[in-house]
Amino acid sequence: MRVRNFLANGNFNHSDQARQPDGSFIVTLKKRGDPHVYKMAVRDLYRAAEVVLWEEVDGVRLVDKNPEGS
Amino acid sequence: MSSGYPDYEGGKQKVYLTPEWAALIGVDKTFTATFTYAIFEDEAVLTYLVPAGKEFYVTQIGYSSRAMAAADADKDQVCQVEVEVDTDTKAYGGAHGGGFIVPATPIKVIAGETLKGTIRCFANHDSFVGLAVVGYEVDA
Repeated sequence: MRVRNFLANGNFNHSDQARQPDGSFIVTLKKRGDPHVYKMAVRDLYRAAEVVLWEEVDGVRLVDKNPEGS
Repeated sequence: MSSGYPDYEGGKQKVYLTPEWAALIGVDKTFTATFTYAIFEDEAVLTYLVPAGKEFYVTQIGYSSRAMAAADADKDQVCQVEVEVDTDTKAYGGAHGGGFIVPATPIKVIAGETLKGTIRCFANHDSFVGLAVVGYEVDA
């Protein structure tokens, strides 16, 4: 949950949330001075039913769950 | 400084506005949300839950709407923007093509509250809509 924690800690300067056709969002986080790009796909962000579908840093997948969360 | 006078050199001192200082020390934040090929009433949303011990201040809101196809470029590119803290609306905007809002008083979002920005497409053709919420985050 590295990228999710990055969002939770507020340790970034730029956040982009792109809505996907299935209703999930791809969140991209960047921090000035940090060359890495942090991305995750999430459904129901900040809700009890929140599911992180995948996370990646610089295009390298960290977590790869079934898109349905099962 | 042993003299007790402020440690500055004449002519090099500067007074910063808080947002300017925030950018200087790297606590500025920009949130963007986009929707490509949006149709009537499609919306792009951004959300941010302010972490414990922090406060976020919104200083600028910018938004844009445009046609995806050249054939629609001269038509109305209407969009509407809403910025909320938890469920309370703090700012509305709407325009043909886009615009910006600079709150006279920064919109304050305290720890545990959720900033939400929404831009809705109200054009009758495939559009791109985008919203940017800019501010800074400091210790509470």
